[in-house]
Amino acid sequence: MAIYVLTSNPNAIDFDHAGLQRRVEAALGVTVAVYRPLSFVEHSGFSETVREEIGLVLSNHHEDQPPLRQFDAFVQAWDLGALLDRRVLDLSGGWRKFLGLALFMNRPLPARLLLDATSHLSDARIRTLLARAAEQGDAVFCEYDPQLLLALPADTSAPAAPPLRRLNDDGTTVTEVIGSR
Amino acid sequence: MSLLRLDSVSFRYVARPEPHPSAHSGWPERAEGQGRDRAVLSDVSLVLHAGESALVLGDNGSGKSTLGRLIGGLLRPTTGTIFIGGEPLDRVPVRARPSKTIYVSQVSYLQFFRASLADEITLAAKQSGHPPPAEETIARFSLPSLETNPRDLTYPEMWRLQLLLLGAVFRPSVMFIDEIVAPGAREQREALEFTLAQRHAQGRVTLLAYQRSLDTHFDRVFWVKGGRALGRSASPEGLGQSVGLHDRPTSRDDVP
Repeated sequence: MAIYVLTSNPNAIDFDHAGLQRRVEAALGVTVAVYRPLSFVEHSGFSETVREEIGLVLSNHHEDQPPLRQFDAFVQAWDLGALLDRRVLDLSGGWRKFLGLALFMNRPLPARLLLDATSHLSDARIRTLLARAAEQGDAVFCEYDPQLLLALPADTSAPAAPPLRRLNDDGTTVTEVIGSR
Repeated sequence: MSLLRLDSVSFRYVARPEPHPSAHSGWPERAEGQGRDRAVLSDVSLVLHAGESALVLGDNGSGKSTLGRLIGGLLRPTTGTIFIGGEPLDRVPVRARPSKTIYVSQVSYLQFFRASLADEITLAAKQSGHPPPAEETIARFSLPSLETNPRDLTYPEMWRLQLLLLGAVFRPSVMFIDEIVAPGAREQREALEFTLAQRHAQGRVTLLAYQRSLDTHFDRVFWVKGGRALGRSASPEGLGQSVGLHDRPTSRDDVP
């Protein structure tokens, strides 16, 4: 299990995510599932409250791919307890995105490629995301602004953030930056 | 004279009806006491003078966007008053509002209507009654060819186009920018700093909401936390120093 920060041409996030996925898969040697935000529309559209949205997604996991956490553990791990009875569409943009990310991260996957995952999230949300990402499979974060992740201030009151390894994409190959391990 | 003044502004979202009975029985039930009206901002007072800029900091869900929508006239305060140039905002006719105050949304891609950047600029100029910006001004926003379809822009480019259209063409007296995308990118920082400098020279007020501090200079910094807006000096040594924008003394402990 490793967390990578991938530096790439920002245009790849919008226009070459399929190529980016191929290059990351070649570098890691595994198939990656891709998170690509629909900014501020992170919602199935079939549910109303956060509670219903989580229940809907958890109950529709493929039987061969049960969620990593069931309802109560999921809510606790992602700090969503205070939002359960809020309408998803009434959440702030950042929390709505965070909810969608949390549900994506709750799938049992060997590796994930997360495109523009951290914009609109506060440092506290990003720390939670990194902590969960460190629990299962590899996670590759490709951001418009990778420095936001690489320079994330430490939270002295929380467990140490997992180490971040660096990848570089030159448009044809993704390689690990020497000394980043 | 103040250009933007909030006097004891509070805002509360009114609860919707109970969620519809769900076919997915067996999920944990609604907790007692939840799902009621939700107070977001409470007794917020602040003043910004002509030419000033402010960074509005706060965690996700703290009320930054709600504050922006109130200042932009998209929401009405539950109590309290917002003044733009000394005039209560709710007395400004809707048609006149874009010249007074604009909320720059996070969802920039929903605010483009034409098939090229050139047409977007022409449309904005026509709607605002202002001439299109000079080529040198457009160049400061590092956009691709003006023939490009706005939907073919990257997300950071969409943010810069929105800033150009609203900041440099509409030129409202007060502009609230709800977040910056990729602030570490040179093009983003240059577009923001050009906008702030231009609006400062024009005597206009600019606010930017974000989750963390930026290297860019702002005259004032506010923290939105627990429904309150707390004023701070923007100077590096002054983060613990109240600048008296609120009726309560603040302390360093208030900083999230």
